[in-house]
Amino acid sequence: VIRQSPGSEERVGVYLSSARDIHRLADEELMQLVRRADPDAFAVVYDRHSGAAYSLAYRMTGTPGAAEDVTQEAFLSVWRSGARFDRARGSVRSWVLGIVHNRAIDALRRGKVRDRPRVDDGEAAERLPAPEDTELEVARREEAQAVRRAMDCLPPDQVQVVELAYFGGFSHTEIAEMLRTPVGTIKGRMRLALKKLRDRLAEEAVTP
Amino acid sequence: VTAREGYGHAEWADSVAAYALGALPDRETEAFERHLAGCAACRAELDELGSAVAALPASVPPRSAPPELRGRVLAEVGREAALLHAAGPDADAAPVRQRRPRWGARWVVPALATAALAAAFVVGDLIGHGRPGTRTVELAGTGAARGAQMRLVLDDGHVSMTAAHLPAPPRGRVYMVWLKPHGGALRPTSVLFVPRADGTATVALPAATEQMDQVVVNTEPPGGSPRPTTAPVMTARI
Repeated sequence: VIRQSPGSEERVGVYLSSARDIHRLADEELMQLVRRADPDAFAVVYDRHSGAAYSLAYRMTGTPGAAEDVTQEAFLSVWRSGARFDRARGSVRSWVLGIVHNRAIDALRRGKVRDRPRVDDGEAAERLPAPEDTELEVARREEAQAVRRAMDCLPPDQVQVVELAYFGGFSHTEIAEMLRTPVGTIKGRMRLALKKLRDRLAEEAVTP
Repeated sequence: VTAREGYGHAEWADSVAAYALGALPDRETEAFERHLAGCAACRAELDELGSAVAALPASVPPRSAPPELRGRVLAEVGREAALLHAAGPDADAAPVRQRRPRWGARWVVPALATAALAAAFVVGDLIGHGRPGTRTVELAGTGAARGAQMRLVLDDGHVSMTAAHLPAPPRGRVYMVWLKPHGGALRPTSVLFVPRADGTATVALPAATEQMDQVVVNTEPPGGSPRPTTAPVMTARI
């Protein structure tokens, strides 16, 4: 089902006439073209979000090879299942990163990268050099700082369960065993952490 | 139980955050999703907590994806786009199998591995034989599958396909059946198969096959694909 505002179809059609103009389309408009198997539109989506996708995959899997596998699987899934993107439920970026997260968890739970070395976030190697100061990049850096500030405000035991669950791919029962803490307590910490995060981000007007 | 809270809400209410983080054990996920479908209160909380989860990737140190990865992904996409356009104007509109938000049901087929081959089947002729109401379409393989014979039997809502002398698919591939309605898109089916060691195979096709215009067979990875990724295969006209 293609959801679109009246007239956007024509607009996309007009833009299609010029390959260069495709770069000016919003993500949601590009996804309409991806649904129709337009590889050029897909390439623009890839270029816009592959950095964030790879970064998340790397953070979760801890190795470049596994991160590449996860990113590749996720983007091929985006290409093949573009029809499932629903703009009413969030941005293209959030949707793509959700797919990356699912794929990374699948990889972690299959045990392919469970014994990975922990990623040292302070390590500078392979890190992206500071990008050009485009308006979008500046906004993204500010968003990243806001999210990190919000995380810093959480009590350490709440940060720990969020990190283990979201980035580590561990289930609540695995986390409970690891920390020798009742499952109910772990679930409670997760809920408190996400509620606080949401409130802090709302104060900072961050909308992923 | 209030109007907003679905059955079993007390049991599941504290699992929303774990679900949002992807941290429910596999066995609990499906049960929770069933509860979620009937519980407005949990859906509202999931929306609320989900916005915090969606922000988490922004906290990750940025890295650049390797340029070779871009090349690999775009090359595969380019190949699939070419195949889709070759398969017809509606092929790209093929409905996609729904993957559940987290762990989707996966098709399970035995993966056999042998020599690579390009299997294609030519258009079959409709042959009326057998008892009244039964139709049979014969298909012959070409290329590496030249010796193969396949037969489609349509019998009052029951559709089956048998094969003989069918070579094993290429390593890491299985045969996949696609359906194309008249004037419509190429649709994936859940029919994935590999022949027995003696080259025979028997598979049941969806009853909807009878209303279709064409049946197509190609080779795909073991999980199947939502869209054809290898040469669109032969077409048997129903």
